[in-house]
Amino acid sequence: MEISSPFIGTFFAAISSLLSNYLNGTALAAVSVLAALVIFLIALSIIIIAFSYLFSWLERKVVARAHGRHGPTYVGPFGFLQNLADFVKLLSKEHIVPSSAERPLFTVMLPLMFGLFVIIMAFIPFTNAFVGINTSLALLAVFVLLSFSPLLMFLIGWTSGNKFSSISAQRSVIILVSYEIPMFLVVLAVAMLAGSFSLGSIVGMQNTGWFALSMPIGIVVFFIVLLAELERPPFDLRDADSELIAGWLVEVSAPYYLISLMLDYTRVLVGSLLVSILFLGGWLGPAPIPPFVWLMLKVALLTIFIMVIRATTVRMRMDRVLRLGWAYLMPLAVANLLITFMLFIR
Amino acid sequence: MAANPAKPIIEVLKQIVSKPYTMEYPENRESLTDNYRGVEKLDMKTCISCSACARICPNSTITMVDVDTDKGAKVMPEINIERCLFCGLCEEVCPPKCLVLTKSYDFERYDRREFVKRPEELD
Repeated sequence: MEISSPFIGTFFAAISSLLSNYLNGTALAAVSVLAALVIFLIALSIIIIAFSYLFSWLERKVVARAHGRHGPTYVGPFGFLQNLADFVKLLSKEHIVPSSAERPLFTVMLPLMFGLFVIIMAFIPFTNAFVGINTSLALLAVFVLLSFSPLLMFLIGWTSGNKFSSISAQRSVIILVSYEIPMFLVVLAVAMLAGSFSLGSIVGMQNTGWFALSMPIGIVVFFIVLLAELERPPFDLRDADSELIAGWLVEVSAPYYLISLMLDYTRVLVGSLLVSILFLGGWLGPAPIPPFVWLMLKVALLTIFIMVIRATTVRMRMDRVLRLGWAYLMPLAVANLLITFMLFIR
Repeated sequence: MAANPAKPIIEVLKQIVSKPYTMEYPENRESLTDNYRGVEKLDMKTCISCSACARICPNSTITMVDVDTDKGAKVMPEINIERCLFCGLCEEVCPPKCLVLTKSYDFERYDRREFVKRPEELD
């Protein structure tokens, strides 16, 4: 296991040669690693912010078109700056914490959860060179970190001291926990097929053929489970606004609401990155287009598909969601695992 | 047997690439039919002060009020648009056809008293 990547490594070498005149030994190494990490985080945050902005704008446009409406049009060309205006509005509003909320936990949980997903992003390779933490156990790390999210989400809803938030948080925990099992079974099949837990080598193994073609059941199950894990429609019981108002975000006021929006978009980014890396060949593609663009192209198509599903489906009832998870997806995931084992491993 | 599960998604995709049904209101207007009945317009030069419009109005929307013209004082219709049901009877009975219903339909106001239109405002 190596905790360094070519991306950080190049910056490390450049910064360390730059600083070698002024510093010596361990101080030099520490400062160079820190500077390289800061540069990586800046690159990552540019990706996250750009994706969040484009996704939120495009989602408003696509859903509006699906309804036969125009969507945002006035602010900027095609309403492109509407979300910037909304962000400025949200940032300029007061941050209110209700008196019944557990103040320290409530204020710290949402940024913590956002941080969790940024850490997950650091494990996900964008190309062979652009990786934050390049370990051979990246697949395990990503999904272990992902399984922390129900806990944090429950704490956000519970500590806000509102019954709607509490109900919504309980719903998310139930969905996230019960859909985690089929997800892990599919991921296990992927790891089995690739013979590795490293995301880089999983993509490398798909040089001969995408895993989506090797296990068509797997990608369907994984995509449905992913929609539940991201709590996108039709699994958006978390914020069923006709019953629970805004769900777990009832007491979350403006600047924190902005963080929660960013969090949801980052989750979509993580989810579509995972699908494209595990099943759609990641950054592999014909030569003229660079690998990073290939990956982003696949992510863009997946996110547009997620938006179209949002515009198409209605919210599922709680018992049906659980029934779908336990009675259909779970056996399908097991079947996928067995079929993969029999066809490709034995 | 269940219907094709991909059909709704295909329908939504078709809808996404087609033109939206709505239009952005103040800039773009719907094209109205020829017999559309909107806010009344009065030609004060040809009005003969016959009061036929006030008599036929089913909602008592029209009252005849004194107006100073260059030919001396005359009575002419004052219309409370708030109560008007745009039936077009006043337009039908008007002998010189000086009271007509236009195609204008945006007459929103902040104060309901502003809906009472003097003949000068209708001109």
